[in-house]
Amino acid sequence: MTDIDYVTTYGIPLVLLILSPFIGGLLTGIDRKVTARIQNRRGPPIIQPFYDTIKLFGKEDKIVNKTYLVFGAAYLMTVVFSLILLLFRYDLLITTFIFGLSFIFLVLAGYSTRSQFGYVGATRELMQMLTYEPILLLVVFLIRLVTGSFEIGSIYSAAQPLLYTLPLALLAIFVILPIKARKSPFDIADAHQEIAQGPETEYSGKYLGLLYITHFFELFFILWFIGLFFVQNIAARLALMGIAYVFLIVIDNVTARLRVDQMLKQVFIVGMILLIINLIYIIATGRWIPA
Amino acid sequence: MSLSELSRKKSPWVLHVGTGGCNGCDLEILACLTPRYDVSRFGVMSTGNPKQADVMLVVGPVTLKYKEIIKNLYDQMPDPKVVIAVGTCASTGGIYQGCYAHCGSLDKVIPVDVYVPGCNVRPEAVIDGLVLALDILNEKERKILEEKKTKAKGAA
Repeated sequence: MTDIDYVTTYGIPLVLLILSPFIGGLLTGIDRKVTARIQNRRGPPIIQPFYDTIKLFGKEDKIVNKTYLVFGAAYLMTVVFSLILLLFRYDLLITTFIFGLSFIFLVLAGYSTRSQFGYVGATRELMQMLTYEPILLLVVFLIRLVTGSFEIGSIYSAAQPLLYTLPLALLAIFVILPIKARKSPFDIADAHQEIAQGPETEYSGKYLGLLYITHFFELFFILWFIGLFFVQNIAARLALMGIAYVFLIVIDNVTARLRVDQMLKQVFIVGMILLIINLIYIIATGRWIPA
Repeated sequence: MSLSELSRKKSPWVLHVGTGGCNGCDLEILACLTPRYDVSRFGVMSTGNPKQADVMLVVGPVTLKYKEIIKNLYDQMPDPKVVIAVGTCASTGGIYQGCYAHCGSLDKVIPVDVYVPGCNVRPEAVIDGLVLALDILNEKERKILEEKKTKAKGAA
């Protein structure tokens, strides 16, 4: 390969990487606006998350200890790193693992502060990881089965969009979507009515602002991951991402928070059944590519 | 107005503290969040966490048991911060004035910037107080910065 297309391999991912916090922030603002409209309120302006973040950077920092700041920074780094791997079409398995690692850093940040809210929040965060990580990994394995490789590039060069071969796996991702986006019914870890802000309780000032930016990156990562299910057509891909986001907002507004054990049971059972049916479908129709 | 001052004005996060009154003003504050008086238009977010709050809404007379707690909460809030005394009880003591288990009023415990009188307060009055507090927030930050400058000069 001597004539690499520099624009699509490096240019577009780089632009997206730079824009991703802004896109994530705007999406968060749209979420707040839509939520308000659903509740018949006027709601904050769409650029409200940016006001919040800039304000946080102008505030005094109340620091408890240095450890949790390091873990917070590691959380930001790993999320950005996993987004880089995803955008530049690296190995999907490694991308997923590093994205999982970011949650671990958040959990450690929660444990390293001596706050009971941080403790409870970190424990719940771990339980949430326990719930969504196996399903996400199994989805990645299914993607490997139909494309023949863990490389994200092979998804792009596949004959069919993943949506046609793995429709139920996409549904399983929709089930775990609120966990990753920290939305109701699975906003157990930072249930701010019960446990302040969960692992983020002790953060304040610009360190909280950094966490906010991390959440913007995270949101973009999640939506881009869903976009992988239809990479052949840009319009269909954006539509898929839009549907996922609208689904996220609506579900957030119409459901109440579940308990940890309810979440574990429901997500595991529904997700695993969907994945097993999809696996049977792939094997029965002979769409899988052996190693 | 600089960007940080504008955004400080646009996103006040509120810590709502009830110090043991009759809960009448609490309900009126909650009414501010409803569609009729939606305060989230101004970017107000109700947070239960003093470390992330800018504005402290104190409701009710400060009982002796609550004195330490409210001082602690005030110290945990990062600068710049504004305290609003909501209701007659928090402003002056109200009908609890002279009661044995009571500090008198909120400003005897922590510095208060805005008083919102009324028994109960009306949601409009609470919103007025909040908007008034936003200007004070920026003024306070300017003062803090000036103090820092004079300190740096003194050190040099």
